[in-house]
Amino acid sequence: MHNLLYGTKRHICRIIIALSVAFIVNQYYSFSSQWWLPLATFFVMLTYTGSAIYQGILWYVCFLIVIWIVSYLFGATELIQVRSYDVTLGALIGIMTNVLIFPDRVDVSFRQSVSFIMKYYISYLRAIVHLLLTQQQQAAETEKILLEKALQRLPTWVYETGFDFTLQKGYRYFVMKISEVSEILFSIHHLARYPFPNELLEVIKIPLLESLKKIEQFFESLIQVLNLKNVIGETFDFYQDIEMMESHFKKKVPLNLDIIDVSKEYVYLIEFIYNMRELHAILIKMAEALREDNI
Amino acid sequence: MKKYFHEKKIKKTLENCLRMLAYLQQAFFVNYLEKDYIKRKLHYQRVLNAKTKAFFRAIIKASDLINSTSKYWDIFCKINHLSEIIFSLNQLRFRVDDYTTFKICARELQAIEALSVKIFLQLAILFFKKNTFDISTFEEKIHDFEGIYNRTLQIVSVDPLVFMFFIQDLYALYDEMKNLQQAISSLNETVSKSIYA
Repeated sequence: MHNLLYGTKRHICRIIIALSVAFIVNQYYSFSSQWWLPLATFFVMLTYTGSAIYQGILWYVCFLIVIWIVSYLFGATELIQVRSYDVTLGALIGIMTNVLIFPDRVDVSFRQSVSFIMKYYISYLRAIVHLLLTQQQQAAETEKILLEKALQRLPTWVYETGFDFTLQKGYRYFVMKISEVSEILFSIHHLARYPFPNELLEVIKIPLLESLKKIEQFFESLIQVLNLKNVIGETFDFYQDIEMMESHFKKKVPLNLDIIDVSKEYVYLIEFIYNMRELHAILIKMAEALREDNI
Repeated sequence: MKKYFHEKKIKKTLENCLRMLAYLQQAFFVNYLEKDYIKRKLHYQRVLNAKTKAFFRAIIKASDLINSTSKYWDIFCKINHLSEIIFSLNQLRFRVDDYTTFKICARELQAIEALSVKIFLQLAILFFKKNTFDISTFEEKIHDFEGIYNRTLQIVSVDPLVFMFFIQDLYALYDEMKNLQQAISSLNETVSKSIYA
């Protein structure tokens, strides 16, 4: 359904070819001389990326049950056998076409979707840091809308039942991490809206900008790896910048729960630093996942 | 006439955004309230992704209709901000390793979830119907949660600071919901005044 709704050219071509074959076969080999064969072909092709066989079979069984129920209800029980034969033949044509002709390139679709989203992560994070330091909202709002549009391409088809068993674990893990990154960025955006006093921002400004630079480089490296242009060889030391931010902050604000309790800006800034730390941790996990060649 | 239908379309879109936000909030709070969350993490994550995408579709549709000069722009920005607060609120699920901690405050969390979802749905209805409802009950629920934080969570949790973030974000959510209610009410008043004028 995802494939059909987003109208990927490959899937549309497959459907057209399968339906052409189905109509021809229906003309000469159909037992019921009705349209069950091409209808079955069409339905079994409405599958998510990477789940052609499992979901195709599922659609076939559902369609078969519907045929039986409809035939019983309309008193056409003598036609059940011939209709079942047509549906089976149609399903076979549909599933075989899905698997053999322009088959889903799961790895390519996945890598393209993920690297597309990551480009927007870079620009969004940059805009958020700009918002934090200058309180100018426009860039962050614009980038947010662009990211939300990009996230429509998040490959959630990896969660579907029947997705390639050998790829399931790694792909699903990676998609969960990509989602977590987006949640952290939205959270950081909320915190960055707060009008922090300049002297507080000066405390973390330099390590924050260093951290931003490293994150951008890291995302670029991930994109290169996903586009099969590079491997992640160098190590990024994120924690140095986070620790610097925290130590500068601690010098300015003693981390005493009673003091923090009364000050909104301190809580927000610490939460901001927490989010940056969590973002770094996720990026490292994603890099490790790629190194293990799960994707 | 064209303007009337265009405005109605915008209101419908914003109403839809708030509904999707309510469902998103529900999907997030499942993490804290469902006993089988750890066992069925994949299933809940899938539902969460679906709700998130649905919300983004609604907000993208709204952004196509509303620009910075529109009188609905302020409301649109507030809804956007509300979504960010919700994402921020629900970072808690990554920060707490021991999920039994949520059992301590399950009742308070349930009350917060139920009331916040109800408020979002009431705000959605506000675009088309004059609907007086009291948001201040949400602040009482936050105070209840703060109470259990001060009495118990601060002592039992490994990092009590994360619950403080949660409470701060709840207050931010409450403030923004109040602002949104005021913005929608004043917009409705402006519209009805212009009709009578």
